[in-house]
Amino acid sequence: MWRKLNRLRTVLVPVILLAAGVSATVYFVENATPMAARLLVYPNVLRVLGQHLLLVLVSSLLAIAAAVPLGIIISRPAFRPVAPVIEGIVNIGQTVPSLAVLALFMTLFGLGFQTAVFALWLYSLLPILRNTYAGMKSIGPEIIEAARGMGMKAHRILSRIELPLAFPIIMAGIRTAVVINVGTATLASFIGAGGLGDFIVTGISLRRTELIYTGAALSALLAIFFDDLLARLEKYV
Amino acid sequence: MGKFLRVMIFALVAVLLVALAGGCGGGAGTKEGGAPEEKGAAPQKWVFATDHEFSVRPDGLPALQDTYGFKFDEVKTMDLGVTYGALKDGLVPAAMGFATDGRIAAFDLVNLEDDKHFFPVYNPAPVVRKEVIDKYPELKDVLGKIGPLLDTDAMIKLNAQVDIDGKEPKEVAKKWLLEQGLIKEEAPAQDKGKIVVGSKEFTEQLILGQITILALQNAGYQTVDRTGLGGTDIARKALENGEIDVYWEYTGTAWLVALKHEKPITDSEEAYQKVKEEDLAKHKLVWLPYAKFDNTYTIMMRKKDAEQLGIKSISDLARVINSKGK
Repeated sequence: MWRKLNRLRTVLVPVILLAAGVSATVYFVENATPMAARLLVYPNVLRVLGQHLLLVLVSSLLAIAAAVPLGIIISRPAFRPVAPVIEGIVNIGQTVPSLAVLALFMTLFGLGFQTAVFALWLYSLLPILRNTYAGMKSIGPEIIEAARGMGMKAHRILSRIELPLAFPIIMAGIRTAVVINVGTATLASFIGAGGLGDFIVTGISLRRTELIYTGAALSALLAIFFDDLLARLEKYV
Repeated sequence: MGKFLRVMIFALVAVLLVALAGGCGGGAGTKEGGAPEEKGAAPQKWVFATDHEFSVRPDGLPALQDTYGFKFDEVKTMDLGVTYGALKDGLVPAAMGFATDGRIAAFDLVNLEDDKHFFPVYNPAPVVRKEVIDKYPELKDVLGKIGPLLDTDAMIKLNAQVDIDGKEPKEVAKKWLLEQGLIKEEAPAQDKGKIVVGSKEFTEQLILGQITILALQNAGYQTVDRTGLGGTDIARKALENGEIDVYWEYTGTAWLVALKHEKPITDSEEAYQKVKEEDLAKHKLVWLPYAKFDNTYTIMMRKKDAEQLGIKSISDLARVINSKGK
């Protein structure tokens, strides 16, 4: 009974999310006041959603590609002394407000997509790096010792013992990063990179709440969707 | 475990692919609107930088495009202060801003003339309480001659000296008044009476406030500096209540905000006459001659591009955009 319900849940969650997203969008589009109606048309909603997805995907994947290997490297015995230094540097990226990061790098990289991706990437690094490092360190030395005793080489210990054991913790970091990322990506609108922030910021400056609701609802659903997707990936692996 | 490695490798390949795709799309974003590289060549794609509000306001971009009969290829929305930099850095070929912003001069940009009078007008003028004017009729002349000397270029330069060069509004105001021969280096004894001068809180208003103070001092009045009041509502109420005697208000703002009309006026003289009449009758406020410059929305291009393409007005821009690819 419970197992059945559980299996049903895995199908139901995305369906419910999709239904909620579509119905919220349809409701706001159909009931838009004249000024908001200029933005709230279906092709535009899809375009903005696509921009948002691309921002989140590119920055998150680049962050995973950078932070996971880095986390593994600094967990090696040879690099343990520098680990706090690297963590500290990445930490700084996180402590600067995201809007300030956008403003700072705007002068370097110009406006638009690249700058937004860079800022989001910088923001996603820390949770992933920290969790990767923590995951690797959480493995008891006796386990590594035993593996070595069985004659396993270092790279096999890494791929067969350490990574699988640290995997859930790494995934938790990735999930945190991606969920934060979906929300932070709404700020990209300030520097002309589009995304759901276009709706939210326009809604604020014109006091059109339906624009704010649409942007916020879609962004929240996107975050839940990504979280669910990653949870599945984790189970599947 | 093989599964895990496969997923990791798949993810990495995906990263590269998406980054590549994003790089093409995003990279193009920096070039598509870029400066015409060859002399006289129009940009490949007319991208327009605007703030969020202007992009959807009924009296904003949609109506502008309808009035002039053209359409930008793409519209990029961003924070208001960012549009000037986007234009300067060559990310877009055209952008919106405010006509007297100091960055227009500092970044070598140019305002396109609104030849169809689309934008509502916002010429500022000194507004004085009638009581004060009746008591010191001379003020009509002292403050009245300032406005006609202030054109858009002059105001942009004054704003730039404060916003870009970091000078004090007072210093900038004094230099300009001396250049115009409106005041002398040494102010005479101030024994004619006390006048309280107000202004709103942004740069242009602070400069206009200081210009007023210095002109009054030079005419022998004692002044009280109440410049930097937080916004239209506060300045206007202070004037109506007699807490200040004079401040510079914009015709369009008075018409829409203080006099609560719905429909904006797009002709400077008409707006001035209507506001002047109504404010005197209803609130006993006297509007002295208005400034030549009009602090309204503006469509800007880089000076170099505009010259190369022979674009002076928004109609010219519409013509160039419409003739593209024909």
